[in-house]
This record gives sequence, structure tokens and C-alpha cells, in this order.
Amino acid sequence: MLRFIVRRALISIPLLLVASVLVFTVMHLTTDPTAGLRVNPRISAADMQRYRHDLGLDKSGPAQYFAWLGNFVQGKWGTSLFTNISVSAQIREALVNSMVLGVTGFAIALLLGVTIGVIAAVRQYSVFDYLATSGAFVALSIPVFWFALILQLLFGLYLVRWLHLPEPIFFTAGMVQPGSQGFELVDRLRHLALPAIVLAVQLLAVYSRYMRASMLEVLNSDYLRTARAKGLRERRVIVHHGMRNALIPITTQAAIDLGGLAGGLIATEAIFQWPGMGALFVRVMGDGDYAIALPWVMLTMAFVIVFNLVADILYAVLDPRIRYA
Amino acid sequence: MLASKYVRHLRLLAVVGVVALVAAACGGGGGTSSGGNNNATAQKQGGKAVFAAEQWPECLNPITSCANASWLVYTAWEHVMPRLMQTDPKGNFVASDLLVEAPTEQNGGIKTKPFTITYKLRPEAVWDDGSQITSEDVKFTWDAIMKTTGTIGTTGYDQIKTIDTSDPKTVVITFKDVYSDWQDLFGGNNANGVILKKAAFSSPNVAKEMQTSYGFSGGPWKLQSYSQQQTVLVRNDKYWVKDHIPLLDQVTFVPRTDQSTEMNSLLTGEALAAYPQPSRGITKQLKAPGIKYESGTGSTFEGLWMNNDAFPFNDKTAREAFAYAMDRQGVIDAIYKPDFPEAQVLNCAGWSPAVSDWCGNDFSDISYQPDKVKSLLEGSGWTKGGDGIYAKGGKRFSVEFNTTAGNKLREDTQALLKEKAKAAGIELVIKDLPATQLFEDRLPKREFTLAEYAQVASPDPSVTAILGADQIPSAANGNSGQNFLGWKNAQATALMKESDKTIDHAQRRDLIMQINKIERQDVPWLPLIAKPLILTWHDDRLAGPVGEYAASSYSGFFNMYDWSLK
Repeated sequence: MLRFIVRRALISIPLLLVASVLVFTVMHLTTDPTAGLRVNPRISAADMQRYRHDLGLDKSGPAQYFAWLGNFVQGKWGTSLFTNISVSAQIREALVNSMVLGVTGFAIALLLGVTIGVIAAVRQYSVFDYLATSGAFVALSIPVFWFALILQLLFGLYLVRWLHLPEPIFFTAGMVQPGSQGFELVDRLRHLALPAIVLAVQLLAVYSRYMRASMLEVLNSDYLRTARAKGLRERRVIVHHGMRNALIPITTQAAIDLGGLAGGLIATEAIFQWPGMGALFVRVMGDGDYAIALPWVMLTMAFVIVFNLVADILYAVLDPRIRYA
Repeated sequence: MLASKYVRHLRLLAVVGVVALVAAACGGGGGTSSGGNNNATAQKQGGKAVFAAEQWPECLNPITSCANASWLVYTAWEHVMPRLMQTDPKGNFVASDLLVEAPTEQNGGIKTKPFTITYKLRPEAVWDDGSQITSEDVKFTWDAIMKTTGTIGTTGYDQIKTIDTSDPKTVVITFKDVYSDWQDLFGGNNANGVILKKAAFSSPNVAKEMQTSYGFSGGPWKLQSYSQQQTVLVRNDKYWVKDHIPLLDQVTFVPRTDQSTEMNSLLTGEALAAYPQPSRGITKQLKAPGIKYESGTGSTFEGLWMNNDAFPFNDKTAREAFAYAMDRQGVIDAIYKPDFPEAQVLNCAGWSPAVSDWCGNDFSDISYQPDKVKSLLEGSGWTKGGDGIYAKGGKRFSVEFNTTAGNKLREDTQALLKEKAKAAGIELVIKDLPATQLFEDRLPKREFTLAEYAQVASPDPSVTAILGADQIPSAANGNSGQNFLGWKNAQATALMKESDKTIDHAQRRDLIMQINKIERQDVPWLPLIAKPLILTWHDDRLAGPVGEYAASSYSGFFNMYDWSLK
């Protein structure tokens, strides 16, 4: 197993390098960090040249890339091309915000998705099963941005009006109450609720379908029939014997999803003004700020690689027949 | 049977959903459209307000490229930093609160030999810690602009020879030569038009300073905090103009960079005011209980910019014929007027009617006239092909028409113009590009034929940067310069240069009017509209002259010191 992990880690290094070269090349060819200044009539050609020199943008593309890479491998992430603010500080803040949102939505989705999937499978073709199936298809079909905007209006406007509330139960945008300073847990949770629901609904639909299908397959297997024939109680048969095997496919999917959350949720973060990794990436790509974009890519790819590895390891843990050499 | 029961339930759910959506769409209805200022007689003091910001500044430094973000100005430094000259709601330069009066030749503030501007600072003007704002602060700001790594622009500041600080309350700026745009230095409409507090810095290179905070204030407000989530401003009780000490205790700007979210924030009452980009149907959304808006013509103007070196626009007659094939009035009537009834076709050749008196209306004779297109083109050897499109020398009058992809107003404009142009014998082939590709690649490399985009009219009327013959980007100059059209009219360029060195307003206006006329003769581009600006707010919760600065380049939030809660 250890050899497997080391090999996977080593393979990921060239992968990260290729990704960083690709992102840098695309950004270098399609964006210009000085574009905004270019259309400012008060900025002269001489200003532009001086500015590009100050940022090192007058060097060749490879020279810029290798200068960045040299610093990056030494742990010097540098500062943004525009703001002079530390790259690591910006990414750390965005990552924490994305993970708070992502993990909350993910946990709700996993818990409810597995539960709904199991019940729907055990009670196949029941009213619950039909409702769960229809609900999952509706959830998968609803565009994220539309659902998010409807939730904002529902909680921010209509429930407040209908129930004569002094303020919304759940806030509709941002991470904190405007004007507030410091950390208040309840306030944070009330801001977190709606974006987490939007994320959870999408994932929940997927997980419940996965779990239902997987559970149905397991429920009809010989070993479960044997367990029942031994006289085990139905709950024990389902929970201890059925679910453990049925969880294998969803575990892989969930681990991959969890790794992907590090990249943020572009639509959800945009609509709820959640300053996470997705929002950061959109901003820096638009600006052509490769000083942030490249570490962003390295980090999110590292997350994906690590969580894929975790998925493989969990696979082996859940299914003793699987062994990695 | 069971299935039909579910179907009935689903239908019921669908009906409820639709009713809810219709209610959402039609909700309210008690809102009022624009209607002037809200003149409350006795305004309440105190309280907090939250305003929505459609864009968010990434950093606060007013000297570096951070300052290229308009929303840095709107949400932070125009409320916190002092300046020398500023503009009034009509776009005219006026003295700021810092000055005793605006320098003029009459009061001895302007001398021509050598070109010198003398500003008298108000004796009572102080920073928020009570220390005096002095000429040393102005001189330090000049040093900072010239010496900061990554400074946004030194244009104009590089024309300053010396700043005399012998009297703390008198700033004497001597220029190397006549510099007509002096009012934009340390104020006006310049991105770095601020005055920094010398005592707050250890070095004039302020590249790493003021990223997320200002340690001082010389404006009506103090910056309490800034983050990616909010900017909090609180009253500066030391502000020396008592009428401009804010009535509100605190204003918080929050980023609502998605316009739907921004509108939801306003409708739900989370934000009490917003300054959204004009978009189709926006005023319909604002017809809700308690919501009011004020709109006006802004300084940003939209145009159809032709590459004067690319076929067919390398021919003056073709450019003029093209102008007559553009149904500009149709665009205004169909696209802008439903939301902004006051919208009009722009006929200024590089200026906005909302900014001072530089607009000559020289394009007013150009309207959609297919007959005129026919006579102009056929008179110069073009013939109409079987497809109804004119051609000359085997080349069709077919033009690729670029603009920024995803901009609904521009896309609708393109569609309407294309239809009418075709009827006049000109084909427009729409190919929209990401903004970055258009502005960073196609325009600087002049790899375009026709593009629609906006420029900003400044109170200073210089158009040398965008129309001067020496400002054409090319490979030789590293694609610098913003005369993307490649218009090279020696006479117009000479007039621009002369205007740039003329101080007297009337004389300068004469020169600008001559440039207006030459542009009309050459038709290097076609003005379309001065874009409307809109400030919207909760009239049931905010009082004061809200909306007075709606069309100002400082944004509608400029005078929020006068706003109060109801």
C-alpha cells in the first residue's frame, strides 16, 4: 500500500507541472494583466512600458514562468501582480471559505443522500421511492443559479413578508452581517445555510440515486439471502451487510467530489457572494494575474489527486478483496 | 390510479410554483420611477446603512493599479481622501472642500510664464487626527506618484517642475510647460487624484502600503475596515466642513457582483441603495414598494469604432455611407428608451453632453437614410450585387462586427443594426469576443474592422490619447497608444495638441469645436449613445438628496454624507 501511495505521489509531480505550464500558456496567450490600464486614456505609452517592467511582464513567457516556478518550489508564493497582497494569504482565505461551504453542503448531501437511497431501495416502488426519484430528477434538472436566486427571494423577501419577520431566517448573500465585526457562529450559520442548501440539493440527488441503485443490487445478492436465512434481523442485514458493500461506489464518488470542492463552486459562490476559491479563480483569470492562478491550479489539482488516492484507499478498506501493490 | 394521483399532486405543485414565480415577477408595483431628489426637511442623525457594490476593488492603494478600479473610488477613497479640484454633478471642475477657491487667472491662481498654479488650502482643513493638511502632503503625494513601483500613471505629474511648500497652506505648482489638464492632478477625474498624508508613510514608494486599510482620513468618512466581504466607513467627526459631516454613523458597502443578487439584495432590503449597470428591463425590476431610482446621462459613451486602415473603412465615402446605414435612433428607441425615456442618440465626436460644454452635436445630420447610402456608394463605384449587398472591385461591403460577448445591450444593438444595414446594402457579420480578447489583443493589434465599445469623457476635453495621429498602436511601439482606429488627420492632431496647451475655456472650446467638425467630415467612427447611469434606493428608508450625483463620474454615492435614515 505504501509503495502504491508513493508511486501515485511521484506520478502527480509531472502532472502538476504540465498543468501549471498549460495554465500559464493559456493565460499568457489570452490575457494581459495590463489590459485594464490599456484603455485608460490617462495612462501613457511610457507609463505602460514602465508598469510592465515593474511587474516583470516585459520578460519572455518562459522567463516569467521559470521565475515563478523557481520561487514556488522554494515556498515563495509571492504577491499578486495587482494588489501586492500575499498570494498564500489570499488563497488560504478563499480555500477556508470554500471548504466551510463545501464540506457543510457535502456532509448534508452525503448523510441525506445515503439515507434516502437506502430507504428508497428497501421500499422499492413505494410512495417514498417515487417521491425520492422524482425529487432527485427535479434537483438534477434545476439550474443552480435559478434555484439560488429563488431561494434568495423566498427567504429574503417572501417569508419575511408572509411571516412578518424582523429579518430573514437565513441571510441571502455574503458571509457575515454587513457592518458586523468579529466572529459570531449563529450569524455565520445563517449566512451559510442557503448556499449550503443549493450545493447539498445537487449532490444529494446524485448520492441518493447512486445509493439506491447500489443498494438494489446488493439487496438481491446471494450473501444477503444467506444472512437472512441465518435468521439475522432485517435491520442488521441491511445496515451491517448490505450498506457496507453498497457504499463502495458512493465512497469513490464522494471522495472525488470532496477533492473537487477545493476548486470552489463558481455559480453558487457568485450568487451568494461567498468569497471562495471559485470566486477567486474567476477574478484572477479575468485579470490575467498568473501569480495567483498558478498556485491556485497547483493546489486544487493536489486536492483532486489526494482525494482520488483517498478514494482508492477507502475502496480497499471497504472491500477486502481489493489489494494495491 | 396511483400514478394519476401523483400526476395531480405534481400539477398542483407546478401551479403553486408558477403562481409564486408570477407573484415574484409582479411583486410590488408601488415603486416610483425617477423623480428628482428627496428633500426631507429635518433629517435624522445616526444609524447605519448598507449599500450594494456591483464590482469590488481588490485592494485600496490609490497610487498603484488598484486605482484603475472605479469601485475603489466609489466605495473608498472619494469618501476618505482629500483632493484639490473635483467635479460637480454636471461634470464641471470646481474647488473641493480643501480649497479656499478654485485657482483662476483673476484671483492670481493661474500664471502662464512659467505655467504655475497656486492653491490656497483652507486653514481649518485637518486630517482625522487633528493635524493640518498642508502643502507638504501635496508634495509628498507627487513624490509617491512618481516614485512608487507600479504607479498607475504619471501623465501630467511628469510635467510638474517643482512644488513650493514654503507656506503650509499654499501649494504652488510650477510646470515645465503649459498643462491645460492641471485640474485633474491631485483630484478631478484622475484615478490617482488624491492627497496622501505624508506623516503616515516612511517612504514615497508606497507600493506595499494601503493594500487593505488607510491609516488616515481627510474626507467626510473614515475607513474602519476593508475585506473581500465588506468595506465599513464611519463618520469623520474632524471633517472641517460642518455641512458635510455625515448624518449616518456608518455605511457598509457589500459586494453584490452578480446583478441578480444585487437586485435581490435591494428588493429584500438588505441593501438600501445600489448603483447597477444599466441593463434591459432593470427599471421594471425596480418597480417595487419603497424603491426609487434616479437616472441620467453619464460620461461613458458608446460608439461604433471603425478601423480606418481596413477595407472598406479605409475609404472616407464608405465610412460615411456606413454611418447613414446605421439606425442609431432605432437602437435608442427599441433598446434604451423603454428603461431610460430620456435616452438620446449621441452626436458628440468624443465627448458627452453630460460633461461640460465640449459637445458640438456635429453628427446630428447623420440618421438612417438608405437613399443616402445608395447615392454615396454608387457615386463612388460600388454596385449592388444579386444578394442585395454592395461590392466594389470584387469585394463585398461585408464587415465583421465585434463587441464584448455576453453584453446583452450590445448584442441587441448589433442585431438591430445588422438588420437595418442589410436593407441598406451593407452586411454586418457579428462575431463577439471575450472582453479580454477584444481589448487586449484585437484592438491594440488593430486586428478588427468594426467594434462597439465605450470610452469615458473627462471634464478635461483632451481626446489626443484616443484620436491623436501619434497614438496609433503598432508593432513598432509595442502596441501602445489608444488610437485603435488609426485615424491620422494632421490638422485634427495639431488642433488637439494646441487644445492641450490652451488654458482659457472659451479659446479651448473653439479648438474642440474645430476638432468636432473635422471628425464629422472624416467620420473615423460613429457615436452611438452616452450611457445612462442609475442610482436606486429604498425611498421608504433613506432620506436626503439621494440621486443628486446619479450621473456623476464619482457615482451616486458621492454625497452620501447628506443621506440619513427615515
